Amino acid sequence: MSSQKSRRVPTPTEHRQALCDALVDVSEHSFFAVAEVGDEPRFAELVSNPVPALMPWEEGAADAGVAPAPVSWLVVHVRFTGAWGGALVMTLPRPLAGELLASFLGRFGPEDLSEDELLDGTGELANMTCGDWLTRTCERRRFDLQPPAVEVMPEGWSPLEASSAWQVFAAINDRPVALRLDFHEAV
Amino acid sequence: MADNDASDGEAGRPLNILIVDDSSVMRAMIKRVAALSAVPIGEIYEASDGQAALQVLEAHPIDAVFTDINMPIMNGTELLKEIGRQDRWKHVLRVIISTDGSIARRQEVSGLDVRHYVEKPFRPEVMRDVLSEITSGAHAH
Repeated sequence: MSSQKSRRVPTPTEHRQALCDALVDVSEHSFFAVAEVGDEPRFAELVSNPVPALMPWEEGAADAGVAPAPVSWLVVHVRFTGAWGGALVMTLPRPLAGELLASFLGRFGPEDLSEDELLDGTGELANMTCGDWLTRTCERRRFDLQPPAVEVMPEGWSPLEASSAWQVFAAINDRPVALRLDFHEAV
Repeated sequence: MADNDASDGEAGRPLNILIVDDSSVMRAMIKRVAALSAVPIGEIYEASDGQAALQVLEAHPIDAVFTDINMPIMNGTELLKEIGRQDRWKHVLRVIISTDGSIARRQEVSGLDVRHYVEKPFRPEVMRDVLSEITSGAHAH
């Protein structure tokens, strides 16, 4: 019986819930950010209306203009093997990555980050989220993670182009984040 | 070969620590937390994988190793096994910092004299408490 219990495979709903919990856990504990799981309409709204870099009352806002600049996106793949194989895919806007990394490293702001730090740290965000999710779901089974692969998406790319591909829609610090799990085999 | 005469938990003596993680950002974060803690820290060394960590251990006196598990070239488990094989490193305190908090992994490393197993994500005060415990000389249960 105990071996049966330890080998139980989580349902897709359980995987999704564990992934949501992992994202919130990582965001709050390591990046001191507020993470909320939402739905696709809310995600689309956040994507279409990005938070401006400066609020209207902040110095320099008038010079920055009313419309925020087009947002560039990062997509991270973290491959896993063991109990099950596949990849966690996460997408987030570059400004959010900068905010989170600045907080993580105790920097004054995103402008203090190098490109290497930004990409490395973004990979680490996805890596921790993936590891947290797997720790929650694998129970007694072992897993291994590959180093995260971070891709800078071309200008004009939007996660809304294939919104059906994403399984979890969330917001971190009121900025959109989407995730999905690509399993090698159906679980 | 480094003269590793460090003793286990000698209160007040600065600790020389080695941080092993393939993420430079994670190493920087741990380094920052260690420096900001109230614990006396001596030199802080870094390595991006187990093999590089062994080279640091060969060259410098290290009191404690903080290592990730999943790393390319040589992972954390292999590193700890190698440390355990060497009498000259038997005094080195071993701490795992990993996203992998699974029962399977914890069982895998249970025989490798791991002093603490810290799961990522962790709050900075967790690292502070680990460092404090190490320097106090208390034995983990």
